[in-house]
Amino acid sequence: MSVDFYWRIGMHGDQPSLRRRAESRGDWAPHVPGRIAPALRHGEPDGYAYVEHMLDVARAAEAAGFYGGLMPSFPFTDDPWASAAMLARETRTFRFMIAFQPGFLNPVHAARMAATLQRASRGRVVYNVITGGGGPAQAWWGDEVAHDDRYARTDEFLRVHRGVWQERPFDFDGRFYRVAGGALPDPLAAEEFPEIYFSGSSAAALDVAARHADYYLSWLEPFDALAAKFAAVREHAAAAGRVPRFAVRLDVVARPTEREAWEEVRRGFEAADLRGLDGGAGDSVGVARSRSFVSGPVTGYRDLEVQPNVWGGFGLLRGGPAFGLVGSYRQVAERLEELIALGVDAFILAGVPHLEESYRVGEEVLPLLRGAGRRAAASDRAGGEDRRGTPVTVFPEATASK
Amino acid sequence: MRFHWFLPTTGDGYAVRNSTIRLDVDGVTAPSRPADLGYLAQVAQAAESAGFTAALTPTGVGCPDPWITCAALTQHTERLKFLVAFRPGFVLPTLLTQQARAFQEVSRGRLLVNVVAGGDPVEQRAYGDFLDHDQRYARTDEFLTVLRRTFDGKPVDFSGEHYRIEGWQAADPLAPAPEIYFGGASAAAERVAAAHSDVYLMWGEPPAMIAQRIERVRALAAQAGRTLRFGIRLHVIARDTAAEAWRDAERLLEGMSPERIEAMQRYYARMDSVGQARMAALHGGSARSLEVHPNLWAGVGLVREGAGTALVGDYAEVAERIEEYRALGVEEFILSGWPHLEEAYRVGEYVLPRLAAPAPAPQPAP
Repeated sequence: MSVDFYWRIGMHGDQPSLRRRAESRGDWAPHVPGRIAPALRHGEPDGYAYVEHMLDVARAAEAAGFYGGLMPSFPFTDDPWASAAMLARETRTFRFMIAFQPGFLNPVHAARMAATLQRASRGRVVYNVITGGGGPAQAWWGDEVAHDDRYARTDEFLRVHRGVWQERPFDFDGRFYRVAGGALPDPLAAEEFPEIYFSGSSAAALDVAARHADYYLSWLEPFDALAAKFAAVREHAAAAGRVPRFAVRLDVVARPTEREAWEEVRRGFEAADLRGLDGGAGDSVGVARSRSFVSGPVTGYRDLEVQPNVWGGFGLLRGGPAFGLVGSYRQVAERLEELIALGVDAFILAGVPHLEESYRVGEEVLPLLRGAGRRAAASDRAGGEDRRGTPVTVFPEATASK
Repeated sequence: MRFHWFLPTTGDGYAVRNSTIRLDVDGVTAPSRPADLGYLAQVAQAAESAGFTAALTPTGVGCPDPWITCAALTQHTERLKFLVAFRPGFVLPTLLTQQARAFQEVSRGRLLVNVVAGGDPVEQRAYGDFLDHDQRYARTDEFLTVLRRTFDGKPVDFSGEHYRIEGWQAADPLAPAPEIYFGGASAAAERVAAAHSDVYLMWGEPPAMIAQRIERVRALAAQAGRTLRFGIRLHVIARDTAAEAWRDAERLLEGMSPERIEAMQRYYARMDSVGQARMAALHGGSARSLEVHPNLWAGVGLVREGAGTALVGDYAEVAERIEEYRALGVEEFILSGWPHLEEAYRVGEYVLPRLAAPAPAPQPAP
């Protein structure tokens, strides 16, 4: 069995640590001394663009042994399609998991765009299909479609998208899309259709996931809840005659000792605004689930530790998903192994700052995993040449060599 | 003040590594990050993003040639300058001028040179150089006399003890002429530095020792009607809290096996470098009492040749120590830490902002 490890590429700046919520990398906030950003140095603009920092992170994660990187998409980020196209030129084996909402693109146009990027990157495109968290963000995009209908639209999008790529010529007459004789030209259609990571916690989401997902992607939750969720997905998929794979997206604070890891979290928690625990105004079932796992009032950071090393306060320190792992290198590796035993086939890990932590996790944590092979990435070629991104399984040494 | 970073061309990781020699004893592990061009480019880009002016690149028998490495790295960076180290005895000043001219061309003027006369007779002889310590400096003196002229594009006819040049033709001056950095702690070195260098470099001795050297070299330069700047080479272990910084210093110490420490003491003993002897005296070959001045830790020197001290402390303390050196007249700081990629960001984000003049306000959005 091989497990794919992805890293997250920050698309909206980065913090230098979790201790203070200050985005000082990138030009998303006003300039201050020490900011790693486009800036005036010695009185002149320095020619630095934020995509260069994304590239630094991608290169670091590639060198640290990650298989690829998630490129998130929100109203407040750079666009992942355009950014991935640039980063692909400067990396060799690193895959780009592009987050997008199907409703915002024409599915035929998107097929041509994605196949072009597959061709240019030699098959390094992966999809993170998201169907929207509702609320003001959805309105920002100009999308007024209701929650369950968004999933119906995602379903149609993916049918058309795949159809014009693989069943040429393709006709479709649905609620949201109508296509007559749609087909990618031969050289584009010859490209592999990207793997689909699919997110969504609602019943409507699970039905669509059952039909389309290569990987069902969930935020980290307490392991029991995650196991139950996977069981429900398996059931839905079985009804559609498919066997799903699972992926989990989580933040990591891994340090040489557990004490140092919690110290990092404690400092971040003490500087955080606890109102962030109550979530936003959207209709996301996933966000509501995350909050429900923490019972009782939260007065100290350990109140958010729902099981050993599983901490639910990451949203306070950085924004984004609530749950992640906090512990020594070995503890984090053990928890990842438990997740693999639960059926997880792929991880999207993240740590702050993303550049430095990609090295730390790649060098200190992943080599400790015993139970699973990793698919080879750039610096990790022991299993053989990986010319077209064909999966190559390598079994890293059981212990770190340092 | 100018701040520079360091390129770990022998490899990088979480342990103190030798930068110019290869030590073949137990306890020396392969670098967890080999210094291939891709990784060095990442370090150079990090140094550039973090606001450093230049990157020092070492020279020695155990490391890759810095000219080639730096020339390649100019193509992966935009602004970062390269402080390329070389030994005057191993190349003619005329040829070096040609190299420098080409480097200025491909880098758009980003070359600085660091003149190292050499400190290990065994290594010098392995290179094919049999001059003794003071002769090496006499040769360096001649070398720099010629180099100043060839950098300026002047014709050269020169007849000295070590170099004889006939009919080197005039050319356009190098634009810009690379600034000449120079290190060496002996009396012979100080005289050459005062006569020729733009920046006199010192390893990170305690402030009182640095003050004496600055005073001496400044006086020697004044006699020659010159002024020069002073620079210091220091490692940095700066953290949010002093406790964390000292814990990480302790971790570096744990990574140093007794075999390594012992082997390095033997190495120091064979050297004729006065600077190295001054460094070795700071730690005395023992792990105890390594804080030789507040926040100045001599632990690095137990296993690493050359710069053997680190500033250890919280961000404010490290900034204060840098200010203390500045008050003595030190204007250039060549800093480093393990791993060099992560630590470039850390120093750039947390330490330099406490020192630099406030950055100019960004231009208003159009």
